[in-house]
Amino acid sequence: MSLPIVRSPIFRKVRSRFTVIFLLVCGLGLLLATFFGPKSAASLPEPIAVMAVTQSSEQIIPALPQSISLNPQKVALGRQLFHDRQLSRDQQFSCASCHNIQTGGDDGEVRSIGRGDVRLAMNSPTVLNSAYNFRQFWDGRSVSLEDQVNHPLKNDQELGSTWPQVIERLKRDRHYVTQFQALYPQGIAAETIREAIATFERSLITPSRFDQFLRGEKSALTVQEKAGYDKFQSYGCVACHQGVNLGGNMFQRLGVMRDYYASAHQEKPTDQGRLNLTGNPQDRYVFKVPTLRNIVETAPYLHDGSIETLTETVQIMAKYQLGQPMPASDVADIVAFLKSLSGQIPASVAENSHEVKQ
Amino acid sequence: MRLLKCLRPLRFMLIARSQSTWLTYGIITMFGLITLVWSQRQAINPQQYYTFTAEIRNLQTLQEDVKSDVLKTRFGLDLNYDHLTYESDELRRSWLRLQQQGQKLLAGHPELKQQFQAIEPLLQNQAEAIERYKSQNAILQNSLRYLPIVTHQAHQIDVLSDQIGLHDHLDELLQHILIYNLNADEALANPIQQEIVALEAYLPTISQPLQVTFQDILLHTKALLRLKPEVAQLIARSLDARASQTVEQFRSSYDRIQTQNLEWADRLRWVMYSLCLGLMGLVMWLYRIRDRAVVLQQANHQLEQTVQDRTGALQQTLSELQASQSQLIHAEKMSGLGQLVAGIAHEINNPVSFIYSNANPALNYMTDMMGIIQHYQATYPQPPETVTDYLEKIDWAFIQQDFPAVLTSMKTGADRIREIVLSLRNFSRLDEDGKKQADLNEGITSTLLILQHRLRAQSDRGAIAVTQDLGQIPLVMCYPSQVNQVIMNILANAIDALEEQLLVKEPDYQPAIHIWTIADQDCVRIEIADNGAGIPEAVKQKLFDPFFTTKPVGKGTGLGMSISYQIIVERHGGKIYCDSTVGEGTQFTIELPLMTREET
Repeated sequence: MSLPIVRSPIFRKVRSRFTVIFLLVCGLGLLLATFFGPKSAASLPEPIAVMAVTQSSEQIIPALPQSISLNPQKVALGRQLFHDRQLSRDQQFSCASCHNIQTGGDDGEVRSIGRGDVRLAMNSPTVLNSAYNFRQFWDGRSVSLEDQVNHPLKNDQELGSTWPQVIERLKRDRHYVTQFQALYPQGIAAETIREAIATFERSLITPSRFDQFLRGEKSALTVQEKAGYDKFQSYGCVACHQGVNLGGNMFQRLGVMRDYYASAHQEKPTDQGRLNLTGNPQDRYVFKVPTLRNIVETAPYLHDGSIETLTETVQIMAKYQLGQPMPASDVADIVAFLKSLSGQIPASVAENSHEVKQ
Repeated sequence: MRLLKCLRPLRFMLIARSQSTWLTYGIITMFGLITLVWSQRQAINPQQYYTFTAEIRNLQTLQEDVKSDVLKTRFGLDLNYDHLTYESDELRRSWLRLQQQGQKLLAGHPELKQQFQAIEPLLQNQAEAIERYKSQNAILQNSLRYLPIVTHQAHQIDVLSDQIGLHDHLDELLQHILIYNLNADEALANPIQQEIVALEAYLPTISQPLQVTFQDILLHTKALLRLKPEVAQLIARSLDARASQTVEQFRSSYDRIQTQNLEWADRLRWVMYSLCLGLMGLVMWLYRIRDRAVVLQQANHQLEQTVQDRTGALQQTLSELQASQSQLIHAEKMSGLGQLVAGIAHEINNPVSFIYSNANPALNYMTDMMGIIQHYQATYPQPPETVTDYLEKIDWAFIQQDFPAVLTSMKTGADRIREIVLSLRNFSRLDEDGKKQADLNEGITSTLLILQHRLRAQSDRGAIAVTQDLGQIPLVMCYPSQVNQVIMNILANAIDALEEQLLVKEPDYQPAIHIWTIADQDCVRIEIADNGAGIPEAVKQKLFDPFFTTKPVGKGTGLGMSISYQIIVERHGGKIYCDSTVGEGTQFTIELPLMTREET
């Protein structure tokens, strides 16, 4: 077959055509490959672990980082969303209604007043440093800040809206449309709204005098505060209020040494804690150990906001959680120490907070 | 046999298709196969396998990390739970990712899926144990730390009282607790229980502050007894080897299947390559056939073109032949006619010459004879009666008067015969071979003479007026008879046209022909114009085509003008053209060059 064809001019023509065909086939193949090939992931990456920022376990309480690396545009967008009342059904509430950044990340109410003037079941936990909580909510039902957003948004007594409703509202706002499009390929969507809000929340860190102390600046704490910190450790408060957030990395039962509800305290269904979530009897009265950062700003205390003062709370903790008697002077020292845990959002993070209409 | 019979039509179908059609089918089939293999190959995504395997490895690492973290917190190497919490969370999310990926990857392997699903409860159990461990361990550690302190406090309070044996019991208790803490053996718990009973017995007997401290001691000791075995059990659950084993088992099974799949993918790839190669071969083959077909088609086309060209040439040759044949026939006819005319002219010429040449002497003789008679009559005024009678009988007076007229008219007749004969000879000129210097005016005159009978008034119409403007023209080197023939043709056509026009024009229409001869610088022009019907444009184009005629069948040959054209243009190198307006008339112009080129 070869010899006569090689000589024939037809073959040369065929060869050039063959090249063209070959290229065409290759091109088609490439086209198909791109068409059916592995699709680029359109969804957002898995939410980063809330504890991911620090993993140090060399100290019982490591210091908070002084700054945090986040996309500032996402933080700004999240801040707007956090303060935007369009997220609630009747456009009356925003996230900030119960989690005021300026006042310790909560609202100072025993239990927040929700839609229809209803008192909610639980005391609003602070949003500050919430990124360092291993779970969200008192009963820890959310594993990430992103997921957390879903709950108050859909809760009829809280924001009481739905994602389609919120998305539709935000899409009408040209400002949001441009911002979202600049930051997320998929634009305005439930997951991008969640991510933006969570990113903003991650920025809410409050390094305090205590952190300066932990960094070696021994004069950052007063003598009483230092004494308080020593007692905080020696009494064993630190056994649960430990880690970078002085809490927020474990669950604990309220009344672990003595039954809290056996005596004076009246029991409500919400006091069952994680039992309501898991159905496991071992989880009765079990709550997430809350952070002690900014604790003086976030009165009243406990999951139901039933304890008004910090002193009282410390006394309750000593009795029911530690099972130890605690003299009033020690309580005062510990309370003094707890005051040193109030911090400020770093200027770089806080500067735009006031621009947002509330 | 039956089957074969059934297949027979198929065989015909197969044969009926051309090779290239089959090749096309082959290529399409090949392409389909490639797509099939490709999609099969695509379904096996090595990237997915590797990602999944990497995730399993990650999960395994995290499992070990978490276990190590549990132990670290247990033995105080890690001072807080942050690390353990972080790693546990990572483990949970790693498992979530695995589940997500696994859903698709394990769809076709129920056994593997079962193995995979067995992992989850184990991991969950582990996670639960760890969470509970964190809580319980915190409390346990607190109690463990607090018990020596509170015992020490009790000792100090005890200094004031003198309860015998209390110190010993407290020391015993603390010792047992320390031992128990080192090894949470059920048996070792018993002495503690005993000490608790003993201490409880003291309770009513001791002072109030000591009582409180004692209650604390008892509280924490009971907590220790409760928490110690639980924490030990929780650690055991956290470190549960079954989870790691199950994951490892799953990993190795998955690895095996993955290897198989990848091998299969590799094989599919080679199959695909071979198919691609085959496809290329088929395409090449197809194009070879197509190219051959193209060449064949081109050759065919060329052949057809050649045949067409040849046919055209033949057609032309044929028509040329037909034309020349007709012309030959015509020329032969004309030549025959010319010979006849020439013969007759020649034959008549002689007798007419007798008459013509004798007419004058006859007239002279008659005059002489009339003179003699007149002389006689003058001499003899009274002739005899017979003479008088005879004179009367023959009507002499009339003869005397008529005779000269008779002779004169005979002379005139002879004269005209001579002229006609001359014209005939002029016209045919067959006796004159080759070109010669000829006077065209003469030709025109003689032609007109020949056509005289047609120009004269007829029963249904008046005469056609012919006016001539024959100029001073030089002699022209030509074939006079042929030129005459042309003039004759044109004039005959003109007369036809005039007659045609007469049928439609008003009664006062005067048919006329006008002839000019003009000497130009290098040619002589003959213009023949009529005010007849004119020639329509369509006819004008075919005017000089052979066998084209507007006349009824049998009347015209369709050769007149074509011969004229041939004579003027081809034989004399001249021009013949016509200028005509329908309803107004026609003018033919013949140009004959003075210096004719040599005829080839």
